[in-house]
Amino acid sequence: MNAPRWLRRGVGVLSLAGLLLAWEALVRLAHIPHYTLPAPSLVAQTLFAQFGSLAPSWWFTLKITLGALSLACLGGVALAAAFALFPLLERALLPWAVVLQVTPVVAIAPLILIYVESTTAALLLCAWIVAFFPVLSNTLAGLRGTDPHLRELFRLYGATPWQRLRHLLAPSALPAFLTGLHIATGLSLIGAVTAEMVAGAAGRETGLASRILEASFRTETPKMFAALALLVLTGVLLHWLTQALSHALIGRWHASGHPH
Amino acid sequence: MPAPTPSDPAALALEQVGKSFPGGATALDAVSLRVAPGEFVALLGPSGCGKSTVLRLVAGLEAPSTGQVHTPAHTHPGQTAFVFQDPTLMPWASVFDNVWLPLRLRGVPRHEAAQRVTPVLARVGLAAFAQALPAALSGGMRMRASMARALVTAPRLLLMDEPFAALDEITRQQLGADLLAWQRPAAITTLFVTHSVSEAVFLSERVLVMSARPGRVAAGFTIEAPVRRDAAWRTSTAYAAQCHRVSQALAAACGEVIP
Repeated sequence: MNAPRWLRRGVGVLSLAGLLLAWEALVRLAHIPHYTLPAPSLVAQTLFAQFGSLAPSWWFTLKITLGALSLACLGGVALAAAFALFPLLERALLPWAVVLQVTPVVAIAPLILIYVESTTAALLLCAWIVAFFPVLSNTLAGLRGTDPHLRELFRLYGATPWQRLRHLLAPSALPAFLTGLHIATGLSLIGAVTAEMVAGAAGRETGLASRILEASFRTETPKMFAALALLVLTGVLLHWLTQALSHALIGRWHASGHPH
Repeated sequence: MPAPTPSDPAALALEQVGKSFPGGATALDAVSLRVAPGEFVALLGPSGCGKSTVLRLVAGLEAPSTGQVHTPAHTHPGQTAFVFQDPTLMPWASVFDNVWLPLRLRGVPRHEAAQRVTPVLARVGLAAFAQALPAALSGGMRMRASMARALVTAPRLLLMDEPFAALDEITRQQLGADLLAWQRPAAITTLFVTHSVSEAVFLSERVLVMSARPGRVAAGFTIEAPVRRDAAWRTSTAYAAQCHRVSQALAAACGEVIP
């Protein structure tokens, strides 16, 4: 039996609201000091009060995230297409892609910060490293998964390589690419924040990770939570955006395009 | 190097064709067959006898290991249509766009193609479903769309690889009748692979029975039938007798003994 529609739609919001209420009640009833655990109401208050100082950092983190994501899409798709066309290239380069994927970004970030002079470029590189692999592997799987009979049909009708790409390979690989994009979106935000944590709060242009570190040094716990809340909201927003994109592009014909 | 062209360009011939695959499996061993222009030939055999391999050789999708294949697919590229067992439609494209595909790949724009796609869709009974996606269609309708795509180019050679095998009996008979109504007047040379004796006898002018491992043509039958092959023909004793003869040949090809 299915739950009624209003319940299915609202149950996520309800559970979130329930958790926040319980948190608020706990802090108030147990008299927990705000430097240990601030109540959600105080976090919200801090977020509004400090938004002016947090906004530039938020914008910086968003720029790194979206920049890394765009580069991950470009690099991942280009590499997947090259691998699909030239299998030898895949044998030569895939081990390196795997090495990049399995190496924790926290561990290589300090090295990258040594070799790359601009901190922004270093952060971009770190976020790109974590984000590009899912795009690559998913797009490659999508290209490989193209219906072999449709491939033969295109051969039989004498399709040019461009026609095959445009009318067969690209639409076939689109659902898998969007899955990769979805994963990469979350990862590029994580990569951007992690790398900045390692880089530390330095330079003029800094992101939300630096705000969190600063607030932590000064035991401004509510501000830490406010910056964290901003990160969470950004992540959720990006998650929704990629889901909406999937739905718009493939919702009509592919099961993974339907919103969850 | 172009193969020597048979007297009529629509005729196709295999001469002592062998095919083995990397790994050593021999799919075909010295298969020879001829199909006259406009003729409907059924290729009947147990699974694994290489009948699909014959079709793929004729389509030019595979090259023979030994022997010679003379096929319009080589001499007149673009005039061969292939229908697979599954409808093989692009799930992201509407029925119209799927049927438009062969013309589109030749550079025919949508508005021009519509003059050819729309009548073909009407003939296979999909006029109302031109804008539907394949997922919205039944199995039979998807196969109709697949046939429409094959026929929209007015091919000389039609190759069908167990096209109706996945359909229910009623749909299968309907599509068979529709296929004949299309193939006979246009005199499209047709090679139809099937493992159904009744389907082979009902549709074709000639049935070639293949044996397995390695595949070769074991027997051939010319089907005696009225010009109009309808329900009366399907229930006639002449039809039953020919089905029986072909069944016996098929059993012999499979190595079974009929008591």
